[in-house]
Amino acid sequence: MKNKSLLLAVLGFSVVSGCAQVSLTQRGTLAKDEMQWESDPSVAMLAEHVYTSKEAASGGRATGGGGCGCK
Amino acid sequence: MAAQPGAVAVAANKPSDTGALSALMAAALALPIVAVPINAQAFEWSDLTGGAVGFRALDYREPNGRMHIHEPLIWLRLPVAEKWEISASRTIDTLSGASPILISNRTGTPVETLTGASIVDRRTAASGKVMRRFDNATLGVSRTISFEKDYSSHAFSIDGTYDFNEKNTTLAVGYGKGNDRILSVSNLSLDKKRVSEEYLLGITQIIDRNSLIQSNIVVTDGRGYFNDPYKLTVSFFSSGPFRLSPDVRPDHRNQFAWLTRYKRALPANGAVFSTEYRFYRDDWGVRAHTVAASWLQTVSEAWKIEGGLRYYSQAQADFYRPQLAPGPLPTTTSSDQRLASFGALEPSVKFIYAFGQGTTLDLSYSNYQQKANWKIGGGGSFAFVPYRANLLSVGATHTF
Repeated sequence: MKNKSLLLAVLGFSVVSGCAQVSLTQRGTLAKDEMQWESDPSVAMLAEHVYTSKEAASGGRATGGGGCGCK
Repeated sequence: MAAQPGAVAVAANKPSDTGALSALMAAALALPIVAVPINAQAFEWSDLTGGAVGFRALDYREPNGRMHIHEPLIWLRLPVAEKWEISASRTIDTLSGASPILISNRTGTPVETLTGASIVDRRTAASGKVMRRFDNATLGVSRTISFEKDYSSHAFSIDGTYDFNEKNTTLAVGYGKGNDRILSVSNLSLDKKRVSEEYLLGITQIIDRNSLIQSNIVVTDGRGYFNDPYKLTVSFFSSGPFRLSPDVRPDHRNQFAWLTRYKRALPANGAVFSTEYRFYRDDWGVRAHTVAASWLQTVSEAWKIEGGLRYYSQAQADFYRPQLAPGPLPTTTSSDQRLASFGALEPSVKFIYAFGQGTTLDLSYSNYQQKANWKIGGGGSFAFVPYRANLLSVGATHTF
């Protein structure tokens, strides 16, 4: 377990340190709506509602959404 | 959630606006792109500053007269005094059709029994969030409520993000707590509670000027009533009387979800590729893997098309039993096939039309299917009944 954590930490550090520094003025593409994780929040909201009512797994995107009686 | 007795057996964007370069640059300078969107199930916010309002209606339909759900939703995001942002959503979904209520092995193999009469239920839900932006950080508080005739939920969350590495990296933390109340229309004396607490730790990294990656870990600690008060299992044996057992689950559930997602713009092709993977496990014995990918293609100045594919696989809960074995009753047992071993596939397509400045209309369709042998490695639960649904969605967004 300890070795796994260490490996993950090294991997994480490698990813971060291996990335190019992108200055604020170079983020025109990243600022577009289609590059946002949820450019239209209603899409994720309704999709998650469907998945959590039909599958045992849930979570990973955020916290505090509350429950529903669908499962 | 409601199901009624009286069962009858059956076999079971806006695109980058022209002339809006300055606005885009302003948004770019205001980044970090990032922020792990908190309060997902209630709502997830774009990281772009600016106001927006939207509407979406989902039509979810299972074949053969099973569930039909109609779910309209409105949402609003409003910047206030430069540093603040208020957002809210409201939805009312209506559910009708027949639902699995009983599993019986009287014919030799476990078979689902649906509610004979069509059930009707309605859920109303609302969420609100207030967020404060700082130079290198955000702090948000949100509240979500949801009501059904036999279920209610009150949840809140607090979340924060911190940007460093010249705003190329963002760390996110979040805490949420939900209080649920479970009732039953067929057992008026039932009045149970469930409390869940969630903790989020996430990181978002800009990889280069066209791509970024995000990884979140969410741990959930739930305590209280997890049973489905409507589900029953009837087990017949080669000799002796049959046995009727209610759905009894553990009174706690600890969940771990690790989601990693990646986005890459391909400006030369006018496309954006997105993919994600989620690993999930809980102390009920469920292990699940989710992989999804989509390709968004700009077709013209007004039109975009997005195609996607999602795959899901889960291993069953330790106490999933479509039929009981002779002998002592287990302390926990459930025949709910959502706790079985199976796999699911969902191809989807979406058409997006932009009406000039800041207004888009979209139409999407997906076909969701579950089968036992689609589980990773095959060999899902033997009693699993294949399942499918068609989802049609229409949405509109206006930014200002």
